[in-house]
Amino acid sequence: MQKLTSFFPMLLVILVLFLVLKPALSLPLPGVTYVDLQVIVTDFGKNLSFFHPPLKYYVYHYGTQFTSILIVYKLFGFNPASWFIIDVFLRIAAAVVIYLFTARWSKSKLAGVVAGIFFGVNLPGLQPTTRVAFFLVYGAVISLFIFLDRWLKFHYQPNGKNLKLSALFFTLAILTYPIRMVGTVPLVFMGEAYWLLKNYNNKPILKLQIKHILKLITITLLFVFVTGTLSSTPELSFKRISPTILLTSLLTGHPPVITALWLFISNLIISPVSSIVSNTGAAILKPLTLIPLFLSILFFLSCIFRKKFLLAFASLTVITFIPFVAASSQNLEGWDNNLNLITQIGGSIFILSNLFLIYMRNKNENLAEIGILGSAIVLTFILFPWLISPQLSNNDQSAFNFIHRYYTIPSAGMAILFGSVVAISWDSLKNNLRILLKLKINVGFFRLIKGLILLPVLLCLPALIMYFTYWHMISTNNLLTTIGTGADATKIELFWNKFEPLLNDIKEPPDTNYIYINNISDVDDKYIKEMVADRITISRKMADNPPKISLIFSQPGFLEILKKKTSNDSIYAFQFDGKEVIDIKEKLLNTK
Amino acid sequence: MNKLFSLKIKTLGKLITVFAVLVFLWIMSATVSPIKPHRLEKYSVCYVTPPSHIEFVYKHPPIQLEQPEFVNLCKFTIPEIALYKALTLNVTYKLSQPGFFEVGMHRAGMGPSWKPVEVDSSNTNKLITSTWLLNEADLPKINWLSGSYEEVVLRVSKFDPNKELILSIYEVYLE
Repeated sequence: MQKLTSFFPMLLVILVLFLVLKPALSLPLPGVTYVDLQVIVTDFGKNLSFFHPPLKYYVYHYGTQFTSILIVYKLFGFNPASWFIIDVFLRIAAAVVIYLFTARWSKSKLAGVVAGIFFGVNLPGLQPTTRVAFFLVYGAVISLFIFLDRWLKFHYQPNGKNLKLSALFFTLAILTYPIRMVGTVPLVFMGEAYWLLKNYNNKPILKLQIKHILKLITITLLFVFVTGTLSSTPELSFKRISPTILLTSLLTGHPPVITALWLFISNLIISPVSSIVSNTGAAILKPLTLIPLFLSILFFLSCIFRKKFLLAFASLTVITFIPFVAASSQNLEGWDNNLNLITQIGGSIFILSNLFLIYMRNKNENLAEIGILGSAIVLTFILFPWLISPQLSNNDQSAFNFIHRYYTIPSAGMAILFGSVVAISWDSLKNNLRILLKLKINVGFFRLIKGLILLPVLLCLPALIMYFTYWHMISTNNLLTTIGTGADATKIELFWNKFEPLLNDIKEPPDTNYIYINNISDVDDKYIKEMVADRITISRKMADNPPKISLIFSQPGFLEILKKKTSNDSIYAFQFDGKEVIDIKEKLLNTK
Repeated sequence: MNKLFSLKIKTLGKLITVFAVLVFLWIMSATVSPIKPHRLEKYSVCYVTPPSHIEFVYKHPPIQLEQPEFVNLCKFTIPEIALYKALTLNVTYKLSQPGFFEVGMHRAGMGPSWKPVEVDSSNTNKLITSTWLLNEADLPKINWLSGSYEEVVLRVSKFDPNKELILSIYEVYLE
């Protein structure tokens, strides 16, 4: 029975995520999927053979991404339900892995549950679901955490076997999805530096650690110079920033790079595109800025009372953060008020959470260290891609698109940080209550003040975290529901399955294939429009020479085409009523 | 010995923390009143200054294209610091027939291009100076952390390919 109840927290994570993500299961295949499918035709040849690309392709930047797309396409074709089931399953599996990892290393199931749920419902990291073909990002999260588990195991129990396993899973983690895993390298070497300093006087461990670092360096160098897995490309060269300009910007404040980076981090906490922010905006955000500011001041005072002067000095960063960002608003060209307020709230919560964990480190080292590891994941996986690609435009890769695949792995880091903060606060509140009950009223005034001053932080910081987790839950569910509104995936697939076999004479260019569809169903024309040409090109292996397909949805338009078409062009006319696709060409030609 | 080393590490840790906090405060305070760079004085690129000029003559391709484009490149290293300070990109040019003139910048063969300028028949064979803001909202912020660029792209579109087209470039500069 006890064994069974130990699964409850994990089941809770699965249940919450299933309820939030359920609308995804009935979505149609997004139009952009066909762009990804066109790439697999380019990479694997029109016969889609795994043997077509060179072996190196599979360890190269996007090799695994497109291989995974090919596998799912070969297994399920264009069937959206299968794509989304795989996607949602992987997202929930990643959340479960985060739960297991956090619970194991922090020794707190509460931290694990909060982390798993926060990751699973996080709106900015949702793009691998909305753009379903990118489902492998969740695979990357899983392999990253399996590696981190082995990595921590080596550092807590250093021996030859754990060393080998750590190096092996480092290699596998990078190979799962090289382009998304670049942040692993700075993360790991930062961690290695920390452990080197920690164990500098323990010679046997130090020896093993140096051996471990040398292995990781060798693997990284092989990835950069031999396999090309982590090498640069012309595209990356174009996007790479100048360190001189970055440093100049940071020191002079022009342009406001640092504020933008804080906005990217804050987006993981409160997304500007969340439905709650869109509906309420500044009315709810403005009063919320006061809470972290108030908590920061209390935190500072608590540090002073407890004679933690260095931490008190460090807390100046969070106390001044909100005023600095607010005062810099006039220099934030193109930013609306919401972005500014979100940066203030999110940035201050992030800094305060880290300082709080350092403060509580003596009380619960496991939770504090895992939380800080979460922050390191956020920073390395956010900063690294965007120090390469800092566009402020409507570009696909811009961080200012607030729902993006680049945010998925950082959201896992933020989840662990927040899980740790909630659990450490809860433990501390329980302890304080116990002490207070034991001491009853025999507590000196000064001691009572000292104890109470941190109480609002212990209560409000986790409350804010849970509140924003709820925002993510609602917004993610709303977004998936909105995408699916008016898009009946079953009917769209029914149309395709009945329509495709009727196209018996698709001509190659220069001839044109005119297809008139009298759509009297409740399926919007746009869903038919965005899939027909691409699906024909891909399924009929015509990517080398894509057919010219002209879709017409109005009868007068079709009759006009009949007048100007050449004798070689193909003409089709169908009617779709939501159940059947009927060939109406002859009927129309006779009534012309 | 070990104790001494441990003490030194701890002191170093404290010093690094103090330094990091001060740097953080500096960086955040700098955003309130940023120190903007001195505006760049005219910075010529493409090895051309008036009255001399470069002429690009359009050659009719062997096959008829529906919408021909006349693309020319001028290889010239544009340093990152010049881009950081510059606000505008300017080109003085002449077109021998009506069309749309557009400029872009490349780095590793890729980069942004700016909104095309229409040259109508009343402005053909006349010296025109067009100015583009480097930081247009719908373009990548190329002087926002950017590195050096390697070439300027000078492109003409929507012209009559059956007539002669000469693009004369008199000056390209950042300011």
